[in-house]
Amino acid sequence: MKKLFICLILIIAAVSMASSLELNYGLRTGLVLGNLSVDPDPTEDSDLEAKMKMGFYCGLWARHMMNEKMGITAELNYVEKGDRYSEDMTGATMNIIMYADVLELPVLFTYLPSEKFALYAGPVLEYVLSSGYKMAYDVDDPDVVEYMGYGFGEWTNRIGFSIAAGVTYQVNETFFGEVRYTYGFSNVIGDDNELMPAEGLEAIPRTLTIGIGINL
Amino acid sequence: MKKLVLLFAVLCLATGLSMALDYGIRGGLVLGNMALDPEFDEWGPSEAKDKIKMGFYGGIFVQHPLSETMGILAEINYIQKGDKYSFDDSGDEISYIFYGKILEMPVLLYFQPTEKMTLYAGPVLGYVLKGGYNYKVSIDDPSISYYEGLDMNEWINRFEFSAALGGRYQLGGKYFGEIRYIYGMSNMFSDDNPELPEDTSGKTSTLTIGLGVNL
Repeated sequence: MKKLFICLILIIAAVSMASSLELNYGLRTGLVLGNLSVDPDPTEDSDLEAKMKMGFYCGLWARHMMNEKMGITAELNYVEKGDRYSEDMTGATMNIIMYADVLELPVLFTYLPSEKFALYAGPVLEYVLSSGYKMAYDVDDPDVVEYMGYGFGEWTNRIGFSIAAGVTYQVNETFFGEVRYTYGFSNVIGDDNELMPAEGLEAIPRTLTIGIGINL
Repeated sequence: MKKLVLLFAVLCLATGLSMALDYGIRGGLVLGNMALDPEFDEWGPSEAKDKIKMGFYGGIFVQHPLSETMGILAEINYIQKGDKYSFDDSGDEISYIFYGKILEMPVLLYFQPTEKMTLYAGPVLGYVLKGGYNYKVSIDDPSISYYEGLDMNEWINRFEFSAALGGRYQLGGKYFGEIRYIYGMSNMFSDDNPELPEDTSGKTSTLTIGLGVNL
């Protein structure tokens, strides 16, 4: 609730700033294909299979062009990162999902080689709004999903750092398509986390996003 | 089934866009409630109080004017409905959350009494992508949470029928603010649901507040 209000205020502030500076700005949204680099690897000594965790992202962007070909893009995004491991059992599939819902602030150096394409790369500052893990049994008959899990709360490393690189393709004046890879450097799980099976367990996000955006 | 509904939604949208109608996007907050019968305090913990379940919605609309002040508005929205009951147990918050993540297709008749204001009402067809309940304990110290729940795929009624009523206010340029009430008329839980007391019915009742952009 509090977070939502902070989000809303930030969004309104960003929009009003962008419009007063006469920047290009817009919205972006799409799918997240999430992975975590977990150490020690949970697939070792177990029948777990590493899968991709699907998620959702959305955000605002504003771009300032320094010259015709180059500019800076700043963004504020909500991204559902994480990872999924699954194991087939008789009559059910067990999924272990680790998740981190992140508020991202990327600052991206943008290069426009042609009118349609934009390439960009840059650092990303992250704030983890919530993280945790979830065990879900996807039962075949009856067709239900039974789940339980923990939210890590104070045992989360809230502030993280990543780098991102990606490309956008302008479909028409309003819409563009976008693919981005975000490579994390920070461990999401706090050192004092007592909910994880191994002490000092590390989980670092590796995220691919595919989506569309709008110039406003 | 889910794919078919999605495909249908995308096709509708593509048709709308190709007809060169006015279109745009909308998003915002959902304040969710659900009318449970029998009521939750009759079969759940009696100290639990009915709270508002916060959620999110996002969607796309197309608009076709019929006359200068009237027209039809069709939308495809993703909306998180549901309800929450919670109580305080010596510092820990215990909550019971019922949720429905719904793909909605409203067809609304709109009326523009002034240039800035739009009022609308109409029927809404919904498809429940995911529905279930979640029992959550938010522990005070250490500040972590435990939850368990069930996605009741087979034990929910996938189709939902509701009526929506709301208004828009044009803020300036292409942005507008929007407020809407959606009154659910169908029971989300199917009759053979073994997880709830027999013949429990849950009808959503949802208020949304948000922003939109004309593209």
